[in-house]
Amino acid sequence: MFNYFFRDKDSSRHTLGYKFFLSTIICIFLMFVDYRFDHLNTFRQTISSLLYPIQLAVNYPLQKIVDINYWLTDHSELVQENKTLRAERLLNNIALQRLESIESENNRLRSLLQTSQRLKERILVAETLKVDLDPYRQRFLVNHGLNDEVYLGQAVIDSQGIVGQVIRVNAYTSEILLISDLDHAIPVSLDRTGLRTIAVGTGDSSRLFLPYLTSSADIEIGDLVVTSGLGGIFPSGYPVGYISSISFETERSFANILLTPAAQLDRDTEVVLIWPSMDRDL
Amino acid sequence: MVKRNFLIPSLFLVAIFLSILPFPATLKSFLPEWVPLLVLFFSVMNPERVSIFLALILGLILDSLSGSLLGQHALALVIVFSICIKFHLIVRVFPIWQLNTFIILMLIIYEFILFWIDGAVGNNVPIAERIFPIISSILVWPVILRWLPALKDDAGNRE
Repeated sequence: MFNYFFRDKDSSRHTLGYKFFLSTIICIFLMFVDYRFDHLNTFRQTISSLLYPIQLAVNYPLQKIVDINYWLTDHSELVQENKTLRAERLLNNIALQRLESIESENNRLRSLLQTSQRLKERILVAETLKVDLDPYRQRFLVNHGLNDEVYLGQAVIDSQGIVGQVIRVNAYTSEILLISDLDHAIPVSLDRTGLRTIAVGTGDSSRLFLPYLTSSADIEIGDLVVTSGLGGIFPSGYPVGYISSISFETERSFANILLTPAAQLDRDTEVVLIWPSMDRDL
Repeated sequence: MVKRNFLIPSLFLVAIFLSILPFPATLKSFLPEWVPLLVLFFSVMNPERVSIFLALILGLILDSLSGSLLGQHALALVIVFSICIKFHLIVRVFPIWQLNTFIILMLIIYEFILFWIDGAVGNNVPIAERIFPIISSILVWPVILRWLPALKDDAGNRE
C-alpha cells in the first residue's frame, strides 16, 4: 500500500502538474474550512488520536528519566524533603481550617444579602506531556481529553495560580493555551483596590502586560492581580500574578505595566483542570 | 527487501520524533526543521521513492502535532517538494555549494509560506523566529547529505 500510494515508479515529472494542483487545492480547502468553520474538529481529533502513540513514545523515555532521578535520590535527601513537606502540610492545614470557617461565614453573609452562593469546584490533576508543539506559541499538551469530559475553554491552574485555558480537546489529550501567549487576554482585577482590567500575554512566559490602565491608576509594584471572573471562562479570585514594573511615557495616556505570572508557566509538570460549578441562586 | 520498504517511513518517523522533542524555550527556535530537510533530500536524490502525497500527509501530521491551521505545513511542504521534483535532474549535477544554495532557497520558501499563512490568519509570529530554523537547518544539511546515502546503500538500495 505504501508503495502504491507514496512512491512514483513512473517518472513523477509527467504527472506532477495535476498532482501538485490536487494537493494544493486540498491544502487550501482544509485551511479555509479549518479557519472559518468547525467541521474539521472530528477530523482533527481522529488525526491526533492516531498520532497519540508517537507523542507517548516521545514522552515515555523522558518521563522515565524523571522517575529514575527520583529513584536515585539520596535517602537523607528524601528524609529532608519529607520533613519540609510535613511542615508545609501542617501550615497548610492550619490555614485551611481558617479558610473553611471564613468560607462558610462568607456563604452565610451572601445568603443574608440574597446573592448567589459559591459552590465547590470539581478538579482533576493532569500531567503535562513532554512533547513540543509549535515553538512560537505558548502551548502544551496534557494527558486528559474527551474521555475525562474536558471541555473547550476550561480553566487550568497550578498550585500557584492561573495557567491558561483549554483550546483544543482530543480523545485522550487536550491542548492548553498559556495566559502568556501573544493571542491570550484574561480579565483580571487588582486584589487591593478591586480595579478591573485585562492582562494580555507577551509571548514571554515570565511576563504579562496590562495595556489598559491609565497613568493615574492606583497601582503599586508587588500588587496581587487576581481573575475577575468576567468573561465567564476563568472563575473569579484565582491569582494571576504580581505587578513587577510600572513606567510612564509622556506621549501616551496609558501606563506601561508588566506583571509576573504567579503560576510556574514554563516549568509545570502537573496542572489542575477545574470544572467551575454554576453559582446557585438562593 | 523488507528493510528497503521500511527505511523511508522509519526515517520520517525519527524526523517527527525529533521535531516534537521538548527543549528549553530559548533553544526551541534554533532547532532545525527535520521533516522538510528529509523531504528535500529525497525529492532531489530519490524522487522515484517519494510522492507528493507523502509530502501532503507529512505536512498534515506536522499540522496536527504543532496545532497549527490544518494544511499550513502541508501546503508549504507540497510546494517545496514540487519545485524540487521539477528541478531535481538539474540540481543533482550542481556543484555542492550551488546545491546548498538551492536548499537554502527552498527552506526560505518553506518558512515564508508558513509565515505568510500565519500572517493571513492573524497569528503573531515574529519574523526573526522564522529565520533561525533556516540557519540551523542549513547547518545540519551537510550531515544529512553525507550520511543518508550511506544509510540507503546499507539498506540494499544500490541504483
